[in-house]
Amino acid sequence: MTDDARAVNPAALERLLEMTGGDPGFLGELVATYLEDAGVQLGEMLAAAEARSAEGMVRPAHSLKGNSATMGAERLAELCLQLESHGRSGTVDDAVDGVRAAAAEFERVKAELKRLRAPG
Amino acid sequence: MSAKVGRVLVVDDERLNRMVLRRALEAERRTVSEAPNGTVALEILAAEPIDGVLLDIVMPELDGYQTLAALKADGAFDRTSLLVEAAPPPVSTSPGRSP
Repeated sequence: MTDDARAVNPAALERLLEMTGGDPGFLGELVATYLEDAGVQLGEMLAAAEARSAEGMVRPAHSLKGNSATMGAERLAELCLQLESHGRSGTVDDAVDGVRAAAAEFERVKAELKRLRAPG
Repeated sequence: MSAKVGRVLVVDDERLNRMVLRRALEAERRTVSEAPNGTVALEILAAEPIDGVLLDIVMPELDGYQTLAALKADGAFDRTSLLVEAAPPPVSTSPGRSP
């Protein structure tokens, strides 16, 4: 995937909207929940990376991977999958850079979600 | 899940997933209960008439495999339909376990 690829696949949001009854207000609640939880999960991932805690990396990376895939944040989901795999294999000594890359991608995702959710 | 499954228990540690599944199931006029892990799921199954369970695998406390084993052990499995909601992790930390 190239750096200029979209941070969020709008088709995923459309599918989510359809699946949940077509209520844009509810989709907004989902986006807000995702953004709130992602901030916490990234914080836990960074703490785990800094502490070189493989066990501490797995759960937040797994959670953010799944939630990002749900929201169409495919690149962020891929980065989290890599970090989750590093955690499961016990190789998190160099994970700080990976978490920072995920955090930077999350900023792109956040901006894209706000743009997609903006009126008009 | 079949049309006769009216009361569904969603077992998932991710609140985002629970929100999505609740809304989708309620749109099909199903009654939804939620549990964030297997321990709470078993408590609900003991207290409420549940027709079907949507079960995540990777969860804290009591995971999907352990919850499934407990359901089979006490016979609750015979009274409910069950769908496993999520794939197992790419690299298993417990190679001896299976669904």
